[in-house]
Order: sequence, then C-alpha cells, then structure tokens
Amino acid sequence: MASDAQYKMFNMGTLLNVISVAVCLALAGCMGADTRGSEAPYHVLISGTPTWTNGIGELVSKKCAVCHQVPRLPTSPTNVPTDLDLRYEKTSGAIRSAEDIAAPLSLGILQHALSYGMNSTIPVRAMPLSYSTPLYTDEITALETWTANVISAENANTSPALSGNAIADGALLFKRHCQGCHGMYGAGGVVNRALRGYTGPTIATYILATSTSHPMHNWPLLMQFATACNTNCTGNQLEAIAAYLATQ
Amino acid sequence: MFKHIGKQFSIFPRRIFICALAALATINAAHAVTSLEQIDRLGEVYGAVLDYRPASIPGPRPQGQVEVAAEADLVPSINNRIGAKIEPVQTSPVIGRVRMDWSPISGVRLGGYLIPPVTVMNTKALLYGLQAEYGWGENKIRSSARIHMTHGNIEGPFSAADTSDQFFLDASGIDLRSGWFVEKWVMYAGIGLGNNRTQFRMGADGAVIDGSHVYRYAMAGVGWKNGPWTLVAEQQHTLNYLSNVIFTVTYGF
Repeated sequence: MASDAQYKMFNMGTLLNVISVAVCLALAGCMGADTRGSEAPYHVLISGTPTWTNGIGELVSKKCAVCHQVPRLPTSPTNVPTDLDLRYEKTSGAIRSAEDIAAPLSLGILQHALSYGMNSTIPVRAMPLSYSTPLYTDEITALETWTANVISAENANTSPALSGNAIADGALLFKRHCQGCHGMYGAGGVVNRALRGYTGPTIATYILATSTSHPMHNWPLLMQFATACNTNCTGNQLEAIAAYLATQ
Repeated sequence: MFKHIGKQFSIFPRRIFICALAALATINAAHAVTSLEQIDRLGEVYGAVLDYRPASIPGPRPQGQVEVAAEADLVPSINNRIGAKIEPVQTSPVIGRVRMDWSPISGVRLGGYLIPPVTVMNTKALLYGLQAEYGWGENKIRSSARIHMTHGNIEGPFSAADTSDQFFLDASGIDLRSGWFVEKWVMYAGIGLGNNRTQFRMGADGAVIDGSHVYRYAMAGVGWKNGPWTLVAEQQHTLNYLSNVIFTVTYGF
C-alpha cells in the first residue's frame, strides 16, 4: 500500500508529465504539413543528342502530356487543343502528336505567349503554365535542339516521294509543313488561320506577304513553293495542298 | 525520494525527442515532384486540416449528458507552391469550431458541428462533421471507439485573386482511444484509419483534380477535468501529411 508521501510524489510525477506534454504542445514542435511544395521539380537529364527516345519522349510525356492528351483529361484546362496528344511522337490519323509541336516551340512558346496569326482570336499561353511542372534550363535547351533537328529534317526533305496524285501529295506536304501551326485539315491551328477553302495562289500570296521576321520564314521550302506558285501554280506543291484541303 | 523526482524529470527530454520525431515524420525525404503530385498532396493536406476528429477524452459518458465544446485547431504553415507558382490560398492559423454531443444511452455519444456557408474574405465554406462514439471502462483506464465523417464545400479565389475555385471534401474514419485517468488528469492516445475524396475545381481553367486516399492517423492528448469543465490539449498526426494541435474547452451538463 502506498504511503502518503509516495502518493503525493506520484501526483507530482503525473503533474510533471502533464506539464511536459503541455509545454511540448505549446512549443508547437509537432506542427507541420508536408505538401511537397518545397521539393525540386522533376528533372529529365539528357546526355548526347536529344531525340524522342533519348530523353525528349520522357520529358514531353512528363511535363506536356499531363494536359495534352486526347481525349481531354479532367485535369487539363478546358481550352486545351482537342487534336493534340503528346504521348506519341508521330502523328497518326486525326490526332497531332509531338512532331507537330516543333512549330510552336520554334516560335518561342517556352518563353512567351504566342499571338501570331491573322485569324487568331485566342492568344496561346506560354508553356508550361505557371502551375505546371517547370522546365529546367537544360531541358529547354534540349527541346530547342530537338525542335531545330525536326524542322531541319523537314526542310531537308526536298524530294518527298510525290505520287503525282495532287490530293495524296497535298496531304503529305500539309502534314510536313503546315499542320503544326494551321491545325489538322487546315481547320485553323492554335496560332494561325484556317487554310481550308484557299487556292494555291491565295496561299502563295499570303506567304509572300509576310515579313522576313515572320515565323513562316523558318520553313524555306514553303517560301520556294510560294515563289514558284506565284509565277505558275499549276502542279505546284501549294496547289496540291489546296487540293487536299478541299477534300477535308 | 529525489531519485524518484529525477526519474520524472528525465521523461521531459524524452517527450521532446518523441515530439521532434513526430514532426520529422511528416517530412519525407526530398525528391523530385511533378505538379500533379503537388496538387494531389496539397488537397490531402487541406483534407487533413478540415477532417473532423474532435479532441476529447475517451471513456463513457452518463446517459443524458450533453456536452458543448469550443475547439481551436492550430493549423501549421502550409507551403502552397505548385509548379512555379505559389497559390494564393488564405489559411487561417486557427480553425474554430463549436460542437455539441449527446449521450442518448450510457456509453454512447453522438455529436457534430456545422459551419454554415457564410462568405468571409471572399471565401464561402460549408463544413459539417458528425461523430458516433462508444465508450467503456471505469476507474483508471477508459476507452472509446469512434466513427466520424466530414463534408466540406469551400469556394474562394484559391488559384488567382479574381477567380472562384471550389474545393470539396468527403472524409470518414474510425479510431480507438484509451486514456489513463488519475484524479482530475487524463492522458490518452489513440490510432485510427481514415479515407477521403477531395476535388479541386479551377474556376479559370476549368481543370478538375480528384483525389482519393486512405490514411492512418494517431493522436495523443492531455485532459484536465474539473466538475462540468474539461480542458483538452491534443496532438494529432496524419501520417505523411499533417501534424497539428487542438485545444478544447468542454462544458457538460
């Protein structure tokens, strides 16, 4: 049986315990929230030439395709392009894919909003959006290098295997040179006008009317097509493109 | 005698150590994140902040007893960065609640709280929580098993100053608490399992981010009971998400 002295001591001990816990709580030593807000953004390290299989695929999938998918994800903004799926490299069927973002990337969409296009009503916001996973400087450099290589390959392809069928050739040429900005089927892209319904000479006139600072001049083949079409458009590539668009 | 007192004093730094460990446990090893992970995690943290787990001492209440309690839930600093942006979420450092509980039969306690949807500082919050508890035990050791649920619908400019975003929360949980009663003092601890569904709707962009998680939580508290009054200080810890402290003043009649 505990003596009075032991009983009192026990109470004092309990009180000390209580005080220690209360002090601990009052010091708020156990307050904290782990939101991961202080953690570094996901980083894709690319060594060597950036290609789709060497880093760009992972980078674009992780930082772009989280919104740019078809069908649109609930987590994507409502005005995300409805024909762009960046999980894939090559355009297939009606859905544009990563090779088509070479154009907006070359126009500087990673640095500033795009407002090119005479018919453009919605300015295209700079990417990535402020609340998206940020890009590191070396990732931007890798994307720009990859973009330059994609455009260079497109421009170097001066002798596409044209079949002589204007519609088929037009489809090939449009996909290669136009749809990155003007959208699938020429229906109007995110940064430029709808081309559907235009004739070859009309397209040539518009191309030649642009200033040398216009991004169209990044595609020198197009300028050659337009110059030739302006003289005689029969059998010209722009005629083929117009013929293809007329079927869409 | 002094040896005995010394032993009691020696517990103090140990508690500090345990407390520090609990705080550290909320901080995972740093690793790279994507914005979706940050959004999901932020929703979970705010879900844990709003989850209704009233701080009260365990054990049975006499039949017919009504308890009215005022709670002050201390909210820690929350890092609202997502991507390269600090979301302009205004969080009060203290969430106040007034709850009421009733014991229709001995041992059983039912209760809840309600915050009606009144707009304060551009934010309108409808929040309510319910709990049902069964307590047992006598003398020194008393325990309670409890289920609880929370519903929240909060509208406000969370992603930009001039937008109206919405945050929805449905949470529920079950826990077990046991306390050691010595005269007017109670020390108790418990563990629980909860699950929630969160949804964040961005007003400007129309994006909808859903989250659903099962989480474990624990609590430890100290109570002091004197007549109809009870004071409680409780440490809550939602594993991986949140550590917070709740102070409660209860009047029973």
